[in-house]
Amino acid sequence: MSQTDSIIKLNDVQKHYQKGDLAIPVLRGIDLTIKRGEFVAIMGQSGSGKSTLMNLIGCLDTFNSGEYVFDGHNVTAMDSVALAKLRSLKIGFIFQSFNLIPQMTALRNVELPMIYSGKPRDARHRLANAMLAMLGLEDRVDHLPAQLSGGQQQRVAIARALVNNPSLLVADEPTGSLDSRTGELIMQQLAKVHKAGTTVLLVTHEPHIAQYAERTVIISDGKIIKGGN
Amino acid sequence: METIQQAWLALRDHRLRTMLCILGITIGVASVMAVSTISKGGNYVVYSELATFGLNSVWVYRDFNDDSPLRRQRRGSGIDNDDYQAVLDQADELGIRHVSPVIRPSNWRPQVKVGNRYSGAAVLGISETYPSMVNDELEAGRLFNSNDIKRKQAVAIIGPDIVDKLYGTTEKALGSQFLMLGRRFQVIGVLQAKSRDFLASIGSEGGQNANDRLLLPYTTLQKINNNKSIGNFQIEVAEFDNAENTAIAVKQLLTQRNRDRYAYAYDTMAGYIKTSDRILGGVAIVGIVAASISLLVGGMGILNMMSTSVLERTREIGIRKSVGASEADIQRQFLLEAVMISLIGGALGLAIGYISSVVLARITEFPLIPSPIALLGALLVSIVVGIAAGFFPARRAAKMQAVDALRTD
Repeated sequence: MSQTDSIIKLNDVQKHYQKGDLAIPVLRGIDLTIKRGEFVAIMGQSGSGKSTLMNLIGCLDTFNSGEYVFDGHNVTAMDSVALAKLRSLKIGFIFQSFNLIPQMTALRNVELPMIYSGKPRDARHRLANAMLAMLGLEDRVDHLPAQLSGGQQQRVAIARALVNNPSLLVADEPTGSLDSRTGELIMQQLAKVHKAGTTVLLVTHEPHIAQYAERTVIISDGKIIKGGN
Repeated sequence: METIQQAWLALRDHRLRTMLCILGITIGVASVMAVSTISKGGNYVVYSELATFGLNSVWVYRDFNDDSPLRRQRRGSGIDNDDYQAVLDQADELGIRHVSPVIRPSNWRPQVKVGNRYSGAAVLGISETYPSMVNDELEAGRLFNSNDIKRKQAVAIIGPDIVDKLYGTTEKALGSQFLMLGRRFQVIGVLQAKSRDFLASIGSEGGQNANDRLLLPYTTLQKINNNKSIGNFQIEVAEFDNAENTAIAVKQLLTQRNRDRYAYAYDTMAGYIKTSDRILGGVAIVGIVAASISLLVGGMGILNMMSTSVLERTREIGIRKSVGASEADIQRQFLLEAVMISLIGGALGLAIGYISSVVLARITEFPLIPSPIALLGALLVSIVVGIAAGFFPARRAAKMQAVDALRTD
């Protein structure tokens, strides 16, 4: 299903954290292109900069120099409002710790992105229900996250990430908090999403999880050492 | 609409904390409202009792406390019908709308007799303009006309206390006759009751009973007194703010006309009102300041709660941002939570403030004066308190970097 045009293009992107007068480099010149519909895994030791790279690609974080073009939009020049809009319409996230809002039911958690993207109430309701049903959670819509198992919570998170039909799904250690069997199920789910045409960016430190991806990019000490282009 | 629901859910999540915050604002708004209502009621009472003397009134009379021994030993009231005519002639220039002579009999509280019933009465000789000046209203009958004055008719208008003592009912009093000062008078009018209870209760000289007055044409009383003397002028000034000037001008006119043989003094209602405004205003300000402090403390409560809430919900803020919430969305949500607390608190405060006003009004016997402006003001103030208290926490929440917010556990 992969198309030839690129959805992500990073050009010599650098980022450092400021600690007092000291600038601690995290990303030291990243060049990376990801094609539309590709399934890419980013691997690296903790502290390698892989999470920072993921946040940056997901427009959750900013960088200090270089250029980033996402889906035809030059992110480098965007302000916080435009970035929020981009996240809202084009990017879905799933996290290691699920990051559901604990006081909201599964249904409301899935509805949340559509509230910010401005979908009308009826459509929200219908889409969220359909999405949860697709992930096998139709009888869990009114449960709070605490009433769900880890695997169920992550499936709610996937539903939430996909409900706005994003161009990119960013998964940060999606199986990190799950047992291996549930982890496999979640990965199968992501593989399905990829098959349906969505670009998937997976961050992991587990090689067997990275196997689901078509391409693995290895990052070490803020630089891509393998799998870049 | 959606944001309101989100804010409501967040508030419901921390029920106890939300309720305590609401309580803070409720107490603040309720006390501001109770204090302002009760001070308004008090003001109203004082004003309505002062109005029984005429709010635009000026009184000019002979100064018996004059220092000059020469003037002091002179007898008489120092004012007569010629002076009255002179004042009438120059009324416009003096800034006078109405003026009436006021005369008392030499025996201040003569006996009034009907059959074998007796009553004392505060007898006043006046002109036909007097009743309207002091806001006297008739229960029944009629006021004096110029004919009564000119012909020195033996007619009287009597207060309700006299009716009670001598006749029992207004119907019996009207048209009937009584004996006083060795003469026979006919009742042509009965006055409505007037309250000066509050002034009496604070020991004010103004607390004299207005309901046992017996009004006669001043000419009739002059005939009985057998002179042309006038006790004092009751003047209604054209402009409230000019009361003092008018009083001084009349005093000068009298001094001039009588070639300085008498000294004169005056009082103005404007002066009394200024004094009572100062006192009542001072009391009201102290009360409202005290009540406002509790509103301020309530606002601090919201500020405190919202700050804690932002810290506690850092992760939630990160999640919301990651699914597309903009800074404005986050700021709006937290601000709305604060405003909702203060609005609910404000509304409850209004209700409780109203109830406590009713109770206070019962206790103080002040009238309850509901003020739509105070109502609107209280709600407005609570919204402002909410915005002020919610602004900085909401801003801090909005400015959080999504990635930093997500990192916290």
